[in-house]
Amino acid sequence: MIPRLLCGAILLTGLAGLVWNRNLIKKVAALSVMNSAVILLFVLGGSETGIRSPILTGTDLPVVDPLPQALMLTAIVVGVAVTALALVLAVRLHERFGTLDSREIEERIRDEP
Amino acid sequence: MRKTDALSVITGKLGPLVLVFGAYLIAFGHVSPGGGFQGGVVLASGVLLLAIGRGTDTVLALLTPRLLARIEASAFALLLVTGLAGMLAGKGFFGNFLTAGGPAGPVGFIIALNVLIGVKVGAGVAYLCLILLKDSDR
Amino acid sequence: MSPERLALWIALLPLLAAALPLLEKAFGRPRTEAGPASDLGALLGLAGPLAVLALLYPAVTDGGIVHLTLGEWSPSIGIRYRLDGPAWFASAFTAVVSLCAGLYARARGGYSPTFWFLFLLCHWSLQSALLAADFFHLFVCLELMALTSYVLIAYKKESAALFASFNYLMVSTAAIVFYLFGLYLLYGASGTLSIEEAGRVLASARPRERGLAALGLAFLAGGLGVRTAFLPFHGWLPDAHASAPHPVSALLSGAMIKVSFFAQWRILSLAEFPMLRESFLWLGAAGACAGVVLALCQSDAKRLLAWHSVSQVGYVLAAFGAGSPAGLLAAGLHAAAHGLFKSLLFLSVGSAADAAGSRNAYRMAGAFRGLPEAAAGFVFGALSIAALPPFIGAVSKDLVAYAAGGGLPGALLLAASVGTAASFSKLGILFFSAPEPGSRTPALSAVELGRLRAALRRGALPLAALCLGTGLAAPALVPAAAGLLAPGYTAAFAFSLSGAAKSLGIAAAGFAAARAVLSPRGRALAHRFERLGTGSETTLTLTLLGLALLAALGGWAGRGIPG
Repeated sequence: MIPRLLCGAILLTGLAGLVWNRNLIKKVAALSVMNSAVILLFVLGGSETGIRSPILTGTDLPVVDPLPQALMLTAIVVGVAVTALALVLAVRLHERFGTLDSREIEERIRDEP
Repeated sequence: MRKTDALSVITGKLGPLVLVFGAYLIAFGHVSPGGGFQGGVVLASGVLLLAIGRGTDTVLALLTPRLLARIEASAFALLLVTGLAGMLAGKGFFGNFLTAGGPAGPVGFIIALNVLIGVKVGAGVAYLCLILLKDSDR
Repeated sequence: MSPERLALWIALLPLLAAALPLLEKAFGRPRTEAGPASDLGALLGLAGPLAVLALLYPAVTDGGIVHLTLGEWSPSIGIRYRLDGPAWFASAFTAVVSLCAGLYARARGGYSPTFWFLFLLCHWSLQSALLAADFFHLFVCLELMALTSYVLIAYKKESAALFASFNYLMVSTAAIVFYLFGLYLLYGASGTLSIEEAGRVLASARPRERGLAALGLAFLAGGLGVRTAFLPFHGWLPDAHASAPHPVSALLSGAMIKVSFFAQWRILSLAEFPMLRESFLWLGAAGACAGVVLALCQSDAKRLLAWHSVSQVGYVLAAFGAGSPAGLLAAGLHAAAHGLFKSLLFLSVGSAADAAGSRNAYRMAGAFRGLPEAAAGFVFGALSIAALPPFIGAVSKDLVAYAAGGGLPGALLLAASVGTAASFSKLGILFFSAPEPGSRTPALSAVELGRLRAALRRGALPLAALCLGTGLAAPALVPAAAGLLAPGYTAAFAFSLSGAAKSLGIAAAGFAAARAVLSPRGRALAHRFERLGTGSETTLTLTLLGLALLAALGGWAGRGIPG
């Protein structure tokens, strides 16, 4: 129970960071934290049936549930791609506007004709 | 990035080690933690270490953007061809058609996929990081 | 070939085709236009699925389902595809919209092999998501849809597009995290990732499991809801769809937001949680109204169209939330109709904006001068969206109104119809008024104008023809659609004089409202509210509130289910 609550706390921390930070790079970091929280949650859930690596060797030892792990690997890959893209967008925005503050960028875009 | 002696020496010694580790992760991904994506990312980080230590331009002279793009595109195409090969062998798209077993069982297909994915991911992530690093040197 | 083997090719063709532009980019000489390999890839990946779908129609009509497992692994561990009526239907109109947007982009020029790679990959993810029968594969396809769309939106690297893409990325990724959280709850409750099996397990599970599953489904609905962009998850859509290149706007508004809706459809048909469905009826109706009100306040023509996407998705959702077979038919049909006329509108209005040099509707007077194709496209699209017979919009909106019934939702939808007519009257008045003499310097050279017209002829005119053709063929089309979307429900549609009179009445009311909005007082008021509901902080806050609302509904519904 406690580990799950901690994962939930990490998720909420990431969420709070996403909403309250105005720096673009910090928002990307907060997203990464949120991703990690969900990944931890799934891996925890999958380890309920056992903790050995899911390679069947003929003996009936309790192995970890491989399905959540596969799903989480995919989620990690997607997270890496999304983080990379977000950082590139942030770099380009910084090139254009000279600032990483989302509110400032928004106002400047609004003022463009 | 300011080049210091410590950085240059450490990354120079560590870089090749990381590259080998990445190759190990790819090759043994079917029996130990690791796999195509994980090994590929470690390969890219090895390349990145070398770039930080020896200078981005040195590494880019060896691994030109053109070469990395070509490796990536070829790996993607080969991955699709592997999937289609399964189809031609009558086992459906991405079906396992390399079922001849070794001591660990029929793992040829997994290893092949791991290698292709590892090469693709390594090339792609290395390309991305090198370009971003080169931009920051300006 | 058996239907099972054939169905795979719907998703496989775009994937294989995507390799061709990538190889061309890597091995060919640097290009700014598509080369021969990209052309072949586009043809294969966009037109190919349509051919396969045509062959598969007999297998899915009247409740037929095609199951297949990738790689011929056993169904319990392999990736499963499921082609049923709604999936076929959605696949078909997605392919049509993609094809027309692709034809426009190719003829317009300026889209390099990178664009075609991403476009084809996006199309692959759309088709694959519609076929997905388990949550895992659906997740992968949703994320790929999103990734390709982030890059496609920012393709021309304008500052507004970059920022819109960034905001969309933030909200969308947060939503997917909640999707995964909901999946965690659902997996914990049912022990399987397959949609069908989860439904079966949950039907006979203990109350605690069903409570967890209800909460999980609510989070899943929230995550998918951000992709579908209904109220309150709509914040990212106006900016993203307005600043994207025109073919991308057409694809996104026409196809992408519907695909996540169809995924939602598939998920909710596995487990009946009436409270969640009813909330869709109300959220949809409210969103339809709110979308239209804010659309009227816009001065940017493409942003107005994007707000209308929010509104029309509200219609679709309201019909779906009604829960009856009539509602399912109406929802599916309206989703397809919107795909057709919204992409048509984006292509036409976008082209006119390019010719006029500005997206601001107040500066686009006489925009259609020299662009008769764009004018035709706009007129056909506007008449469709304002639900005037015999266009397809009239048919689908009629069905939606019928399914949603009376009461407050019905009244909200009626008000939204008036508002829709008002927005397009406003655009029409502005576009077709004469420009001030000497105020318009052409923004495009003669060569570019020629390419624009060719692009419109290839991409927009087929859509216009379909808007009219499907509407005229409605008496035959509606029963066929019912066979796919709501098998067993006998639907009949006929054009009636009273229906036409009602539509004309709504249009007239809308026209009057448009005159009011265009008055100086109206314009000032509109300008005050133009940016309401969008913006990075508002979007995130509204999304989180929406997720909290859905979670509360899910938790409440879960507790109330009898054991």
